[in-house]
Amino acid sequence: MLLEVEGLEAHYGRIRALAGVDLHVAEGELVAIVGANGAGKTTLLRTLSGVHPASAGTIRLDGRDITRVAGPRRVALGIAQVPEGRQVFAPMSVEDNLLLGGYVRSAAERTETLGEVYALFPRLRERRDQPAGTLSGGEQQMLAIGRALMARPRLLLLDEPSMGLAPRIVEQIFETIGELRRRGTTILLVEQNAYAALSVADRGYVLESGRVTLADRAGALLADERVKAAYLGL
Amino acid sequence: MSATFVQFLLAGLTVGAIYALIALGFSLIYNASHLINFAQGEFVMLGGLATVFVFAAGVPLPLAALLAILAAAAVGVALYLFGVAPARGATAVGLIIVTIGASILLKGLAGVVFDRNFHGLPPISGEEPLRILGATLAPQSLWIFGVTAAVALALWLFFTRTLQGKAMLAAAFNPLAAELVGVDPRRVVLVSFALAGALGALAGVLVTPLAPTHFQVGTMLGLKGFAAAIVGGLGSGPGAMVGGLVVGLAESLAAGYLSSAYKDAIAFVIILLVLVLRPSGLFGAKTIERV
Ligand SMILES: Nc1ncnc2c1ncn2[C@@H]1O[C@H](COP(=O)(O)OP(=O)(O)OP(=O)(O)O)[C@@H](O)[C@H]1O
Ligand SMILES: [Mg+2]
Repeated sequence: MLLEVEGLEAHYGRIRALAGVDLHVAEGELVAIVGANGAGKTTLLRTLSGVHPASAGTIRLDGRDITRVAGPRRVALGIAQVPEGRQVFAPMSVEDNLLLGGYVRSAAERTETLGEVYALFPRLRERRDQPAGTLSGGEQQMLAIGRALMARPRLLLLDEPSMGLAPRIVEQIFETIGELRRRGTTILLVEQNAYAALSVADRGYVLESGRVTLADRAGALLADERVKAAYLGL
Repeated sequence: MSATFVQFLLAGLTVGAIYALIALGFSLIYNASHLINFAQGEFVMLGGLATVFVFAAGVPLPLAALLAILAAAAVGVALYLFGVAPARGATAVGLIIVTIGASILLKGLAGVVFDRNFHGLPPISGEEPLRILGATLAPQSLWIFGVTAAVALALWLFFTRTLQGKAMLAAAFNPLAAELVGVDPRRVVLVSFALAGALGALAGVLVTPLAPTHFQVGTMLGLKGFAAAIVGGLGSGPGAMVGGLVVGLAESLAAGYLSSAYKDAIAFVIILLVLVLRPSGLFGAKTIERV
């Protein structure tokens, strides 16, 4: 199993944002986590990336316990994240953003992966010298994804990649996610847009108040009455 | 141009280059940690005094200077590890108090480890002054201009051409995203403290042949470096350079044409003017947080 999470808890001061999360992701899978505002989705990804401390539970990558491994080390071990709100290095050029994505890799690997990312997102190649902050929202999202891919992740964490984007762009982003999945990238996708996320995913989890309340094949979740009522607006 | 005017200009540029080096230290640390390091002046004092004492012990001047610069870099690292890092989570004011405390401590230690007298160093290339438009220029000034320009160029290349330098900038722009690509924010701050220590000490080594050093010189030099940093906009490298020259020139012209009594007051006046009129400085885009 690539990622195994057991009883994971995380706090902000006294607020318990994760109340014992169990989940797993197998190699090559695309797993979606859906949940309402404040359910703890971002906190989960932050804790997996090690930029927020776990207060209980374990995180295993390839069977190895990484719960206490510092965030930057986890990137080298293969966990890359596309954070909520994209978080590009706005004053820096598109290419520098991408190269920094490969910070933990060797120069040769960076050069090679940069070519692959440009092939996936030709728009980024066209704008390579532009400051990242001048890109449109959709382009910034592509940049954030490209930057995470530069780390050659074994597990790609995506936090609401569709947030604040026009429907046409959202469609493109989900097409890209599907394409990455076909190429064999293992993905854990967090979304409020439950319909789009479950449509591309293999499996899904529903997160409510820091707990997993439902776990199933994505198709089954899409058909579930409770999911339909709460998250699909049906 | 009158010879006197040229004389004031040259003096202002010389001391301005020194202030620029100190200001670069303020900006490096501010960028990495949003902290104003009020111990920055002590690095200048340490650089000068340590060079004096190591040189007096028989070590050749360039080696003595190098050792002093490395020692100041180590003091910078220690300031981070034992002063700033344990206070993580403290308020901005709390952290400033830590650096002020460190500054008092370093002054006290220097007064004991070295002594409380004034000390000079021989200039690098003798004392025979050069004549420029009727004014005179000490060869040491040329060294100061050259070394400052070389340091500015090296830093510029580091931050614009190397991945390590870009990673440090990235951590300043967006610490979370930097951590998510594998840049350790603590290491960035640590390297900034080391660099700031080295730059401060270098300023001390360069200025001591022109202005004798003493265990308390760090206070005023740090203040002037701070004035330079905020004139240029805290966190801006080019701003620190320009700010240093502006403060140096203002001080030299005020001392020359008004009264030398104003020499040290000028830095305070500049700090007040900047804070009131343009808190972001000449090159700063965003306003600095109120502390
Ligand atoms: N920095 C913080 N300080 C205090 N509480 C926080 C902080 N960040 C999140 N929380 C709280 O933790 C809980 C989970 O937040 P989180 O951001 O993980 O939710 P989310 O599912 O990502 O929500 P959204 O869909 O709005 O992004 C919420 O109750 C939130 O108020
Ligand atoms: Mg969120």
